[in-house]
This record gives sequence, C-alpha cells and structure tokens, in this order.
Amino acid sequence: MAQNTTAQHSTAQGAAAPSPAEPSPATAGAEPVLTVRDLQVSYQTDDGPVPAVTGVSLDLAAGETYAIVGESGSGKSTVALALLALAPIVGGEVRLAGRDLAGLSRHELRRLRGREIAMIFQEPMTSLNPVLTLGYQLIETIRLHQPLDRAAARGRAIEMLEKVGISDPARRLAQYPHELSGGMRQRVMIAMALSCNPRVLVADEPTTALDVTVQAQILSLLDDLRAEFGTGVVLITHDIGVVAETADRIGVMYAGQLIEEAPTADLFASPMHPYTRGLLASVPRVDLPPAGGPLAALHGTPPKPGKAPPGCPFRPRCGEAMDVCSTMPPLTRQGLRSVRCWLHDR
Amino acid sequence: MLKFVLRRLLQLIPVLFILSVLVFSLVHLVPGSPIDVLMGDIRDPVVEAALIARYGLDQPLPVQYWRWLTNLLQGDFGTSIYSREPILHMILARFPNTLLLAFASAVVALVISLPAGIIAALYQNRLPDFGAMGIALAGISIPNFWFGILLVLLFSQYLGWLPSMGYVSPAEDFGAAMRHLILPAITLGTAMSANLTRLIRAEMIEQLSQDYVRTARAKGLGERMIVGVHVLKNAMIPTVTIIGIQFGGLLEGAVLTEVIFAWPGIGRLAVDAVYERDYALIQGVVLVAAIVYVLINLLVDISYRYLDPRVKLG
Amino acid sequence: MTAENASPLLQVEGLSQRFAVERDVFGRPSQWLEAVDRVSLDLRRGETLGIVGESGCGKSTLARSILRLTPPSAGRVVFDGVDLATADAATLRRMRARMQIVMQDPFSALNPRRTVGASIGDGLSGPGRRARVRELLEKVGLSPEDARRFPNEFSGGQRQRICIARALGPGPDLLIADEAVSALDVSVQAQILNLLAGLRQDFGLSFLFISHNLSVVRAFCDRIAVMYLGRIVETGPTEAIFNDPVHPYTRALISAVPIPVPGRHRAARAQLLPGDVPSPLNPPSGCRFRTRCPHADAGCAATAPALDPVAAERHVACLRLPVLPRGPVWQAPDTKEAASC
Repeated sequence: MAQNTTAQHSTAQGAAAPSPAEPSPATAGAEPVLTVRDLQVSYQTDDGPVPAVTGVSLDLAAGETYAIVGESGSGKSTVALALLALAPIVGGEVRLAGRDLAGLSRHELRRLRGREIAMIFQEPMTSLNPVLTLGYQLIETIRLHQPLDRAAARGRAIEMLEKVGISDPARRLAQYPHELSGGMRQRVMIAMALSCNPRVLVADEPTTALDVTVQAQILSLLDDLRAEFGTGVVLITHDIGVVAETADRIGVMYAGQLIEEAPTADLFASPMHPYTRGLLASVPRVDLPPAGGPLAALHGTPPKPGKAPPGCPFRPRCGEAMDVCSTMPPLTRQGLRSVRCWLHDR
Repeated sequence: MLKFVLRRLLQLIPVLFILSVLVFSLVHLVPGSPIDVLMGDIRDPVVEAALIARYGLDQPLPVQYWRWLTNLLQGDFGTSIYSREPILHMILARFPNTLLLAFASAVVALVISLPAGIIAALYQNRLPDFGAMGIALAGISIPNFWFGILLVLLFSQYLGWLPSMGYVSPAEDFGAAMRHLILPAITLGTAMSANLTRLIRAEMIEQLSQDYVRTARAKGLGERMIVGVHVLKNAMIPTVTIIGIQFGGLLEGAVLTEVIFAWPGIGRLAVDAVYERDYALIQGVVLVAAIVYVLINLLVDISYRYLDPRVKLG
Repeated sequence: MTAENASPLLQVEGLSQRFAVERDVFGRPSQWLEAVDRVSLDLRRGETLGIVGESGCGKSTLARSILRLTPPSAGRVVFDGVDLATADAATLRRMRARMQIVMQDPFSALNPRRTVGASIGDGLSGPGRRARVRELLEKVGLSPEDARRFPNEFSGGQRQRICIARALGPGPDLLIADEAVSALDVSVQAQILNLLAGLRQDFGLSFLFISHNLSVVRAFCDRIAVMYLGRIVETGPTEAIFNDPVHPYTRALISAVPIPVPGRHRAARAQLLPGDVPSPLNPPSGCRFRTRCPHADAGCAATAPALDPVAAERHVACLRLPVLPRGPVWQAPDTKEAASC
C-alpha cells in the first residue's frame, strides 16, 4: 500500500504562479509538493489584529526536509498551522500539490488534512485525546480518509504501529495515551499522521518535550519514514543541533519573517544574516570543551508578535545596524540562498 | 476496584458515627418535646411523667443516645411517637417516591443543560451564548417554590393540562403517575439545570482549547465529531461529579417541592416529623438521607473509573 | 569564610526519597516509588556540580530533598558541617537562607500580583532593604526602577533574572539551579548562563546545576554526576567525562545530543539506545540500566553495582567495566570540517 501511494504522489502537478517573492528553488529539478508565497497570518485579539507571520515564502520538494528555525514568538508554529489552513491566513497563498488552499471549501480542506498534509505536535502528552483509546483515535483517522471497513482499518492501524516501532501493536490499540511513555506517544502520533501516506508532514517541535535518548530515536524514525514514503517534511524547531542533523534546507525566522534561507551545510558554514550568526554562536557545544570566557550571546530579547520596530526587526539587537536598516530590507537571492539584510543587498 | 469500595466503606464508619452524634444532639437541641405535642391541652403531671418514662426521655442524653445507637445497629430505628409505626417502614415506604422525583428532575436538568451548555460554548460570546446564559442566570435567581407555584398556576389553573398536586403510584396507573410527576420534576430540574448549564459551558470551552482538539482538526475531523465525541467525553468527567453532588442536593430540594406538590416523599415526612417533634423519626430520616448522600458520592467516584481511564481506584 | 574551608560545603550521604503511590484497605502504603535511591555526593566550596539525567531520573527530587522541601526518607544532608535533619528550627532557618534555588519556569515562579521589588525583598529585612533590592536588580542586569513593575511586564529571560536576584537576596553560599535555563530561548539562555557565571565569580557561589541539557552542563560545570532511575551511575570532572565517558548510559546520553555541525554527528550514531526509561515504580533488579544496556549480562540482574573509582576523581557504577568501550564519542574536530564541506 505504501508503494502505490508513493508512486501516485510523484504525479503531483501544477507549478506555482511566478511571484515577486519567489524563494530559493528546492533541490534541483524536483517539482515542489508545497509552495508558500508571501504568507500573511494575523490573529484577532482584543487589541485588534496582531500579525504573527508577515511575508513568508518557501518551496518543499517531495522527500525533502525543510527546517524552519526560530525562537519563541518568531511565528514558526503559526506557519506550521497555516500550512493546514488552521491559522487565520490574511494574505498570500499556500499551494499543496498545485491546489491553492484558499480556493477550497471547508469540506475539501477537511479531506485534505490528514490525507495530503498531516501534522505532529510538540506535546505528545496532550496532543492525543486522554479518554479515547489509541485504537479509536488511529482507526478514526484511517477511516476518515480511506474506504476501509473496521477490520481493514484495524489491520492498517496495527501495520502503522509496527512501522513506528511499537511492540505488541494489537494490544496497544486497547490502551489509553496515559499508559504510554512520552516517546511512545509521539510514535503513535507519527503513526497516525502517516497512516494515510500524506505528501507533506508538518512536525512542530516533535522532539522538544522528549528526553535526549528518545529524541534520537524519534528523529531517526522520522528520517527513515521520510525516505520510505517520500514524504516532504516541514520541521519546526528551535534546536540548532536537531536542524544540523536532519534538515536538507533551513529557513530562519525572526519576528514573523523568513530572514535567511539556505541549504543546511551552507548555512552552518557561512551564515549571512547577523541574527543567524548570533544564533549559531550562542549554542553551547556538547562536543567541544568550553572556549573559556563568556558564551557568545546576542543581547536583548526577540520582539513580541506585533511589537517589532519598523524597518529590519532585528535592528535593535544587531551589532552591524546602519541608517538604512530603519527601512525594511528586501529578500535578496544568491544562488540557492536568500537573505533579508541590507549588508547583503546587491 | 473491590479494594477501593471496601476502603471507602470502612471510611464511612467514622463518618456515620459522627453523623449520628450530630443528628441526635441537633434534634434534642430543638426547643419543645414530643410530650408537649402528645399532651396537647391536657395538664396532668402524672400522665406527663408516665409518658416521659415510657419513652425514656428521663434518662441522661448519653444513655438515650446509646440506647438509640444499639437499636439502630440491630436495624431498629424505633417507632414514631405519633403514628406508632416502625420508622424504618415509614422511610422505606416514602423513599422510592423521593428517588423517583429526584431521578426525573435530574433527567429534566440534563435535557435542558446539555444542549444549552454545548451551544453556549460553541457560540461563545455571541447571541446563543448570551441567551442560554441569561436563562441560566434567571434559573439561579428565581426561587424554586415560586417557580413551582407559577407552573401550577399556568398548567393546572389556567390550562388545566396537569394535576396541581398529589401522587399516583406508577404501578397503579402509569399515565396518571407521569402526569403527576411532570410539574414537580420540572420545578426541581430547572433549578438544577441552571448551574449545570454554566458548568457544561465552562467545561466545553476549556476542552475546546486543548491540544487534542487541534490534533483532531489537523487530521481532518469534522467539527461535529470533534465536539460530539472528543470534547464531550472529556467535558462529561467533571460534569458527572457535579450531577452526583447535586443529586444529593435534589434530596434536600425535595423538601420544599414535596410540600408544594403534596408529594409523599421523605422530604415531607421530615417536615411533618419536625412539626410533631417526633425525635426518633427526625433522627431516622436525617440519618437515612445522609447515608444515601454518602453512597451517591461513592457511586460518582466509581463512575469516574469508567469515564476517565486515567483514574485508577485503589 | 570559616576555618573549615577544606571540608565540603554540602555533603549528601545515602540520601533516599520515596513516595507512597498505593495504599491498602487501611490506608497504609503498599507500593513505593523510589525517586532517589541512596545517593551520595559532595560539593566543595566554590565548585559547580552538574546533575544530569533524563526525566524521571530523580534529579529534581534530589534538589527538593536536599532543601528539605520534602524531607528525605533516609540519609543525611550536611550543610557547612550542620546535619539538617537534627538541626533545631532556628539553625535550619539560618542554613536554608544560605541555600537558595532557581527553578525552571520563570512565569509561575513569581507572584503576578506583587511588584518585582516586593518579591525580591521577601527574604530581606532591616532598613537597607530597599537599597539592597535596587542593588540586586543591577547585579542581574536589570534597572533599579524595575522594582516597581510587575512580572507580566518582563520577558522570560528577564523574569529569570528577577528570580536570580530574589535567590541572591539572603546572601546564599549555595545556589541550586533546577533546569534554570531550560525554558529559555537559545539566545537568552546564553545571556543567563553568562550572568550566572559572573555571579559565581563575584560572590564565590557554589552551584548544584541540575539540567538535562548536556551542552549547557559542559559549558558551565566543574564536575558532573550522571543519574539514571534514582541512582548516580557516574561522577567525575566535566572534561574528563565528556572526553572519555565510561558508563554505557553516559556514553549513550552524550552521543544522543545532536551537534550543530552538519555531518559531524553521524559517526557516533551507533550508540542509539533502545526503548524508554523503565517506570520508576518497577525498576529493574540489580543494575537499573541493564534493560537498555548493550553490555549487560546475567550478573547485572543480580547485583546492583556500587560507585567504584576508575581514575582520579572518577567513579562509575558498572559491573562490566573491563568490556566497556572507552574514549571520546565523536570524531576529532578537524575531520568534521572536511565532512561538512
């Protein structure tokens, strides 16, 4: 079953319309399964609309892992939700396999979620319904999107649990989430997300709540499944180490914007944006003895959503800020990379 | 599970003991004595002394209490001074009526509050919410007995659809029994539904913001399934506790309602017993009501086990 | 500070902490959870000892037991020569003022209805109180005017600074940092670590630094103790352990951390541990790590290994010492440059 759906995915068609905010191309030649153009997301609050994402564009190829890195309030989780049209999109477009989500009815969106694009979350403790069995929650997902009877859906659920490395899967179906460890719960979430062979998996901080030895297991499981199913993965994380280990390409977010995008090796070898440089430098290294003296730290804190200063939002924390930084720098393309900084404006 | 029930029953023993002391002393603190009621206008100290001796009222209170308690433990609640009937019989004869009324009221309360609470939560801070919450507020504010009288005026006096009071055994005439049940059950049930609606609304709103709802949406589940299965099952857990507690409250609320509608339950029995200073009867009724209350709480705890798989009784 | 400078500031001997998790019909405990099982450690004056381990290893419970927030079930805690279990109330209060804790969540640690100044001033008394609050705020990199503001006006990193100022108030000798930087963003985390390092130097503080983040521990601690399921499995100087982790759990833990250098990590991937940490309700017999250990044999189920010396200042609790792989878990830094290009 896994094989035919993968084949079917490769027939994905429909390219995105050209747009001024064209991002760096995904890995050579491959048709993107997911394209995001100039995405704007804004939450309604009592104090009026608060923009959480302002102008994010990216492409994701089949089988690719694209990591969105950022700190709290950068808007990275909002982007994740917007990819499933679960956040209030106020501008731009999200195209999944050529189809613009904005043009779909509620019903069509529901058919898309879980089947074409699935999501896993940070907290495996609370992301599963505590009072329903794992079997109920898995089988419900499968039957929602596939014309299977109860017995066949149950078989598929067992098959998926086996795939994510859960022992004794038939017995697990009768268990409740609290009877499993955090790592096991995240495996169940992954099984649920991949049960309908989605083209795209959005993983929002999937290992942040897990212990480091379990995190290693889950990351390698995700990587194996990505390779096996050809799923495109959008990985949202704050953990630079996780990114270095798993991502093909990286987009760095700050204050609701994508400020730098590059293939993983390039970004680590030569970060271009001062924020990226500061971020990479402030991560203590587990594999090297401390250099002595204080850690390289960015000063200040990231702005709260909607509270960014005009112009480049990083300006108040930037050691290289210039007069021109009080106006918003454009996103500049350089080969496979792009950066939003006046230092690199050609 | 069995261990849990056993432990809870063991814990009941000291509770019941304290309760019996309380009930006994309270009753004897009430001014006036059953002898006054029995004697009426007769002024004969000899007769009075004989009556006092006969009911053991000349003994010190601890002795009276001890005698009552030891009889109680043998299943003997004593006899009513007034009617001469065994008290246990009187209570057992009335109790099913009250239970029937309480149960019917709980059904009325759920039928009103479940949809009202859910709709209010789904349309939070919009018109349906304000409507449901306004009615709930009115339900809490309006006194129970007054609402009961209004219902009687409307449905029996003006419309003549339903009997204004009384009781018919369902075994004799089921239809008539139901017609007699409707007005008292609505009176009691609406009072309970007001609080319940607010609780269900708050619980639904709380649950709708949980992570698992986001998961359900992300996997493409429709809102109807999300609310009807995922959210409701979680929201019912605290709701059941409140229903249990309020069910105990229904037994109390029954006192007023039973008096208004001349419903022959233990609420009326208790009121009559107080008027007549029927010590043994008051003690019996209060004690039985307390035991039932405690047992209902135990049942609620056990039902948790079935609603919430995370709860391990033991 | 005193004549007994040579003696450790804090000595923990055979500390156990257990909680009743099930009771029988009469309410007597019938099942125990051993959160901390006979832990012994010393903290020297001016030293920073890191306690590392994954969730459920008992590291936070250990901190609470040391502070007697939950009095230990067994064992001794000696602070500056005073046994806290037998100390009278006045002495205990005095000792407690000298050991302060900073916790993980800077949002719940501060009362939202009290000003920052009031929160910091709690542990203080006397006429100089206000001046002291202002001084403390400056010490942690905030402005003295911040004393009048409320916690919700501050970011997570700033709140953690406030918590640190509050902990410094009574002039402690020991600061217990329980996952104190874990909830913070990377860029802010580095700021707080630098702040703590500066305070350590200025005040001659000793630290018990509890963390699951091994990168942070390597950057901050002099010595570390690795815990697994309530027991210490390895202790030693930080650099010695990171360059040559001996216990199989320590090796697995260190090599599981993703490294922010693309391509570098893969070499040590073979160390991936199977399964999850077993439930502390029902820990394995003998060595508690044996169910996930690649080197375990039958003997490991029978005997609980003691912490034995393996090198200068280094102790390891393992029965299979002779067969354990040794040396660093990563390639040398130079080979990685080639790999990432």
